[in-house]
Amino acid sequence: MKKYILTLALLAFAFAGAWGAEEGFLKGKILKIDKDVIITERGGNSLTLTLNGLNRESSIALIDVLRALDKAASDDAIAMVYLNYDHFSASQTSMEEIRERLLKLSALGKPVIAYGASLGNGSYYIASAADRVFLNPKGGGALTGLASTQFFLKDLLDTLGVGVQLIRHGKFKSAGEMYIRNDISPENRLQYEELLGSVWNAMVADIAASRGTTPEAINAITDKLETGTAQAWLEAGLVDGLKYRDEMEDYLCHLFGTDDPKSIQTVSLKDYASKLKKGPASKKIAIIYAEGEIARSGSDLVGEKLAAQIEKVRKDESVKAVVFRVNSPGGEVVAADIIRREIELLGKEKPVVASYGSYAASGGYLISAGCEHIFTDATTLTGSIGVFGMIPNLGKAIRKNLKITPVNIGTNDHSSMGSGMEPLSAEEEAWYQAEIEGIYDDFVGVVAAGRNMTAEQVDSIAQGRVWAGNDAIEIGLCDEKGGLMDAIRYAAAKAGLLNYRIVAIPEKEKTSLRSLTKGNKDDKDDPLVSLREMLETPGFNAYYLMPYIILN
Amino acid sequence: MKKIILAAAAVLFAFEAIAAPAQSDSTSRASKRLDEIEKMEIGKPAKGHSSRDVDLFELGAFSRYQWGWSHLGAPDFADSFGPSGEFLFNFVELRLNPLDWLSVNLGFDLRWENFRLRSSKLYDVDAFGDVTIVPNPGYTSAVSTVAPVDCALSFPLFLGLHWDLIGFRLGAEMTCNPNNEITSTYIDGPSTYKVTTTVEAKPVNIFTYSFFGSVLFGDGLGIYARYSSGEHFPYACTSAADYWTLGIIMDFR
Repeated sequence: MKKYILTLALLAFAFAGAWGAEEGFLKGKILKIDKDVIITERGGNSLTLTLNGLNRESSIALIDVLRALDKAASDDAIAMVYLNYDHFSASQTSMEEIRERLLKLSALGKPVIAYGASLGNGSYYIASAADRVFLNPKGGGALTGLASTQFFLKDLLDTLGVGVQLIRHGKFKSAGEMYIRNDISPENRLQYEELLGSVWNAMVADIAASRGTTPEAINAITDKLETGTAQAWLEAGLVDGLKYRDEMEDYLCHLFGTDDPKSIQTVSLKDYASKLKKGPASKKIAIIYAEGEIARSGSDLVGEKLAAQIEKVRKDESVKAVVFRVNSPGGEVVAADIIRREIELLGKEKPVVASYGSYAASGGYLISAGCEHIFTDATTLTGSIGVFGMIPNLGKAIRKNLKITPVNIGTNDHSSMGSGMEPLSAEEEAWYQAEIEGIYDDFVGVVAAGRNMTAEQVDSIAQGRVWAGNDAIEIGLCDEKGGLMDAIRYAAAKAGLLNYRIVAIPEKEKTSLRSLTKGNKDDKDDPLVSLREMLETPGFNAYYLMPYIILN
Repeated sequence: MKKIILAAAAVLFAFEAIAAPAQSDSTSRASKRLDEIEKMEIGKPAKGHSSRDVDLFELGAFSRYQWGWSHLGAPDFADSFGPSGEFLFNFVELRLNPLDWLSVNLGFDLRWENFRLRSSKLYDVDAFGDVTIVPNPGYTSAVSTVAPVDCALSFPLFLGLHWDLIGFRLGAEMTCNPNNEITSTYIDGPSTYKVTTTVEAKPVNIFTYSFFGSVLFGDGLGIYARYSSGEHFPYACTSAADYWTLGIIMDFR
């Protein structure tokens, strides 16, 4: 008798387990991603003094967003995620990693709803991860594909009388081409086309998978400009409905089985992320951020400064493993090598795993090539193993425009080399070329040692060429596709950690005032700003630097 | 016992695999859930589920019907049992729903139960309604005795707990058996004799116990199993026989 009772009880629980999953209206809170959510690598608050007044910008760190979404996936108090894509700002690779998290939530049965009024390449990329994408009936936008616009300044410089000598190794090392050419070289056109294609194909594949269609169909819609008005987006099957704000509110109420919107509880992503528990202080995983252009001074990523931080992490016994989060297009050679050296020393004592953001190219790749494992997103731009140097000369310009005649007096034949007033002689140019070749060989050597390749193998994929993340894995520059959280888990596993605290190095900057004259990071994308900076720092400088940024 | 547990576990995993197919991006679990919710009406419970989305207190009546078939381990006067069955409907039920997945029920059912016993034994029923078994006096062939016991009305008072899809009830019943007839058929050579004896209804016990479990699937349809003590039988002299009833439920709440 007893065995019959037990059998029936087990069968009953079997039925309950199979059919007793979450059913009915949603219960719990809405995790909201809206209200000007700006996601940056490290987050923080900043104040910028502009002509319009004081501008306060608040952003959330990517790591906090990823951890919050991971927590929400298993938190019974969170019923769904609501994403307003109009108010969402993040880099391409950050969107890739966040998108993955949204898909995971969806797979676990937690709906993701996206709403907004304006859709484009980037905003649709993130919105398409949602289970339902709604658009304002009067909104719209266009899927156009990716583009990169280059500016070539030779004629302008000739007009001004400014001369530039570009000394480089790597036929694809196009960073300085804008100063010496009026058009794009065939090698770099090929590079751009393949790079853009690789990134776009990755985006389209993700979008197509989410929308239950094919990449070919998405490309056809893009090529034929079948997006535009909200109705066009709906007819193209790219959104699930058109709703005004009040209709969205009614829809959300329906999901929760109520007529009263006030009965639905919400929590913002920022608030939710702020309540994440920290692990034990004695077991830390440090995320060392290398973000921005590498320089010897006056930059967000000063070589000596970061090297000192890395040394501190190496000596901190509570740090058991390190994730080296790189989001840098490279920069000045010596500064980059200083960082590389410290990472090398760190790697001898603790597991160091690299995680790439939007860029980990040229110097950004050099500083991390020695890490024991490299994670990259599909849309990361990396590689660009090459080096260049630029020597401007302004003598003709100031004679022509300012009627000033510079006169160089020196003790030796080449005392005035690099003064910036006269072009290099053939002998001096050859000397610089030899310097560049030596620096390039060093770069190749670092990559060969770090990636367990021969110098010849590295040279064949170097030449300054930039690679998208997926392609970089294929050719051996990176190990695995994955985001920041994947790198953290890998590092934790290497260090044998189950419970740990994540700390950011350098620590977040407190709110700071920036002067009007310094400007902000966006200005660095402006070619005329780059020109001004080059002219302000005469003399020879070698750069491991990636040349351009893809526009979304 | 181990084989039974392993078999049940295999059933469990088989159903889990059927119920949770691999998901693709465009048909995620959340997307399917949204499909269902979008069709639902606010205020009505989801189809195929017990009414979990309800108020704290509920009062209902005549909303649950059960039909079941019972099996009895043979009492000492019968060597087979069946077909027998029961019909139950909920007379009144008060539900307290302290949690989404848990409710406590208190109420009255009305249950009609029909037993049919077959026996190759001979009975003798005395004036007091006691039944005894008598030896076969030597008839030439086996005799069959059919003793229908019909219309056992009971009024189970129950207290139950309901977890999501599984429910348990414990109750007390008062049984009345208005009509009991025993028909014995004797075959002696070419002759057949039939004797019918009416036994006056006799409440055996006013307290019985039963354990009840049910699982609801879709549209309020479900199955139940009930294990009952055997004191329902109107025959005082018979030894009690516990029995199982398996049946289907229609729950309209």
